Amino acid sequence: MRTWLFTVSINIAKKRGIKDRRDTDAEIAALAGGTVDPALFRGPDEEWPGDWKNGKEYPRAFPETPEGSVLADEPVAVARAQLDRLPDRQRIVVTLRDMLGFESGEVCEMLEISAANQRVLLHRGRAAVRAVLESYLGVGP
Amino acid sequence: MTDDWMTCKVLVELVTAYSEDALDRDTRARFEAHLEKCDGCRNYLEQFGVTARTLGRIRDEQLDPAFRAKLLAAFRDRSRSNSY
Repeated sequence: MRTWLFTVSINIAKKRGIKDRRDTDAEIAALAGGTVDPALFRGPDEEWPGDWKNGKEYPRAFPETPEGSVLADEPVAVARAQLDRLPDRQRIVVTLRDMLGFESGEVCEMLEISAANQRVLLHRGRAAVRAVLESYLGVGP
Repeated sequence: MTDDWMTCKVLVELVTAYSEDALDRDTRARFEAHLEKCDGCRNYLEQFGVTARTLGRIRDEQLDPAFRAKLLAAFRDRSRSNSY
């Protein structure tokens, strides 16, 4: 499966024109910005603007799920469902990196994207999955 | 805190770059200085790790059939168009 997907991913990426858009670092940073609801941070007129409204209370640690029980499979199903909802570019990168265990260098080569662009796609994809897991686990804002 | 303080809002966008060891030395130092003082951001970073590991537990056969088919269709199209 891994070898098969390696080949397929190369081809679909090329077909869809997933190319390095040659964004500058600043553009990439701006693109990556905003994966967390800005309402969770203190506003410009508050003390410590840009910090969590209450960092002692939120974000909270994910509760441990019991290993080996049926329950332990549920977060995986939740993560998979969100993976399916990601935009294609994020979905392909997250699938290759986190699900199939490819290294960042391999993914950059396969998709012909820069390391920075790969990180943005991975970050945005993981952030979206993190948010649904947080909500599923009952520790959301 | 100092002028050098990295805000939580900035830190959350850098967790993947941090985990990939892609931050420059100064940014990495400010990231780590922030983590030492911020429970919320330590939890956020840990949540990202758990998220990646959870994604890693998805089995091949759980891959969305439509996504798999889409990849396979593209692969077939590509194969057909190649004469070698």
